Amino acid sequence: MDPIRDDRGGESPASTISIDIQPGSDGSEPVVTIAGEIDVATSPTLRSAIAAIVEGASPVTIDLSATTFIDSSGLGVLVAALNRSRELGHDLSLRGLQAPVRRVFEITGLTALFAVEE
Amino acid sequence: MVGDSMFSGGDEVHVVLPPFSTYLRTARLLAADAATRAGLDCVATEDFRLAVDELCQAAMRATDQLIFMSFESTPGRVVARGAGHTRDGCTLELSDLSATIIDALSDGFEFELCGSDLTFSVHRRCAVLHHG
Repeated sequence: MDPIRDDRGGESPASTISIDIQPGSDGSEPVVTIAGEIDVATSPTLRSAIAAIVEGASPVTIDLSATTFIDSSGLGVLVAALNRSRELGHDLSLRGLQAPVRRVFEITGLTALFAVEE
Repeated sequence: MVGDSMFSGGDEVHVVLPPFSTYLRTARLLAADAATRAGLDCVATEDFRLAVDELCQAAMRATDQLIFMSFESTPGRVVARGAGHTRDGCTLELSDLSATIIDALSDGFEFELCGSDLTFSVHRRCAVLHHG
């Protein structure tokens, strides 16, 4: 599938996503908190951030409580992260899905694939 | 309000989008606005917003030219339409995941290629009208 160009090569537009990574300590697992909208424009940033943390040796929790939008490209990033986590032998769970985001997971059947915490 | 008594062109907004992913947000904003003006509730508006996003991103993958879009609001119903030209030799692809999402969230959609002419549309009705 052809990629979409992300910009004209000038200054980056204002991002509609922010990613906060709290590294695990004292036995707690790392938590990646994603705020904003996950779409084709922002999912590459998310992919890079999650890939780095998933390569670690512990389970990862992704907090979507501040995520207001996710499309198929965002779902693809999360599924890829889940698959990589399983290859490495650890868990990746989601938490805090708000209604619009939960609805997308439900209609695509992905709630059955992920461990989803309330 | 400005022009309310003079304008009779219907409730339709037109926009021309460059084929860059950063403009998907513009399409979503206009989709939400049109759905709200049509009287759709929050859930239906979110559904329509996502359906438009999925179609636009598929269209943007197929073209390097401007995409012409319109958003038409009538009481209880909203329609988004798009048109453009594909790159030479480019095929039109809508992923299974995108198709699943759009199919579940809309009341109907089209995504077609005729020669190099790309067209797409999606519509959503009010839940009350939809079920009633």
